[in-house]
Amino acid sequence: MSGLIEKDLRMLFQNKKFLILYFLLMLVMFLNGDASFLVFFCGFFGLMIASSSIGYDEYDNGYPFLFTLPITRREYVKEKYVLTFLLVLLFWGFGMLLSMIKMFIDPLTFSYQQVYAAGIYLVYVIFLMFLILPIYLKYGGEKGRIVIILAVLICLCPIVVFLNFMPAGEVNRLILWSQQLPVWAYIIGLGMLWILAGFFSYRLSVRIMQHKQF
Amino acid sequence: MLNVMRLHKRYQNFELQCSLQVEPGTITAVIGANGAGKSTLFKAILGLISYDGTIELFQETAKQLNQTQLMKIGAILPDSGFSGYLNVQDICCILRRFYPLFDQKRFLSLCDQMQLPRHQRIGEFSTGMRAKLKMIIALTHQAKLLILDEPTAGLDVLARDELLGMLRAYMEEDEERSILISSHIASDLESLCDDIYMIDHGSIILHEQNDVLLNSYGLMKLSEEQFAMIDKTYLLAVRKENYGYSCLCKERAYYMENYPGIVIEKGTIDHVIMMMIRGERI
Repeated sequence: MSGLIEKDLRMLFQNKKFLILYFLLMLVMFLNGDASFLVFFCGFFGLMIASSSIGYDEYDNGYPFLFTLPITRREYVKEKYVLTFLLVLLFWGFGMLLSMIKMFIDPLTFSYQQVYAAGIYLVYVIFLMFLILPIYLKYGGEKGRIVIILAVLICLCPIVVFLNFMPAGEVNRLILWSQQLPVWAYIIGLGMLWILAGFFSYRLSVRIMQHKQF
Repeated sequence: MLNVMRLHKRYQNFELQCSLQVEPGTITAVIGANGAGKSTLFKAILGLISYDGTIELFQETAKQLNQTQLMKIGAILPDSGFSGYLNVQDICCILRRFYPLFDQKRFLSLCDQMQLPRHQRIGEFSTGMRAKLKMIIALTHQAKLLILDEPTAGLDVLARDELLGMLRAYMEEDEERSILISSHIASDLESLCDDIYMIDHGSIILHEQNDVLLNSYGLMKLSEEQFAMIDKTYLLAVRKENYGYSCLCKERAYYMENYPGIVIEKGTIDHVIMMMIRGERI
């Protein structure tokens, strides 16, 4: 796996102009934006950078040769998850550092809610990773982006329809009920959902790669 | 080393059915026209596509090769390689992590010898430079078996000669090593390989030792009368020509002795390809 990680890191960080643009954007957000959004954006950027490695592998028919190197398809998938997790953590950590600096400079912007939100953003971005990676592995970089947009729309549609057709009173009752749930219920519930999502995402990704033909 | 038994792969308009062996210490060539099935065969051996049948590699059978098997293989595929965003130095560092037996010093030395710049992206390399780099990658991790699908395609005669020289040197280092190679360029194979498989429309139509093919095979050019009276026992393929018939035979000495008036050329791989594909097989 170390060979794959070395390959991906060398490829991803070749694009120095893009990284400079990212840092400039971070700087602008640091100076003008909301600290918690900065953290989310950093984590999300790490996810996009890491998942683009799949596009690089696919680019110029690179996959056939890649699988003549001493790696299994399962190991390839594992490496994508590990790399994405590490890069999300790295960029999220960088975002956290910037937001801490911002809050230190301007203590009035500090709030514990922002710190909690930053933690939730990390969990959320990792959850997005569980959704995005199988799609990129199945459809590749270019088509994968379109499929993700379609998938989001397909997932949102029933929720929007459901909320529109439900009586307003029922929706408010649901919201009140959810607000009364203890924090541990949220943590356990979302935690289980997160673990299950990760498990099925990885299994699906391995299956996709094992059936892929080059 | 490699044993392909009743391999079967079906696509919409194409079907591959073949068996093939590569013995230790030998160079086996696979020749055939474009679309004959050479690349499909190679991809099946490398576990890149699904197939029916059995492929035994290093005494192990698996539809997708495991890490141990892949460590012992050096592969060249015609349109696939490392990302063009990487350079030679990057590839060296990456290969060092993949292969415990990777010879970094030799890799860099060969790259310098072949004048491959270490810090230029391989996407900016010429066709010849990319081909040389692929060969160097395949040769510098002590592979037991090289699987080379058209490694010299698109190269001039000087570049091809360099690459073939590298292959000869590779074989001389260890007598247990083997090569399975495909090429359109017959002259490359005639000077290199030990045996030849010819594939056409997904089937093996000829398997012969290289020295037998070059010494015993012949191409006869016969008039109508000569063709009518000749012994056809040792003919492999016949083709109608303006002057009469051209015939591929596998006993050139027999025909030279018994029919001294006929025109007969020494067999070459190109003759075999032309006659077995374009001619009528007997």
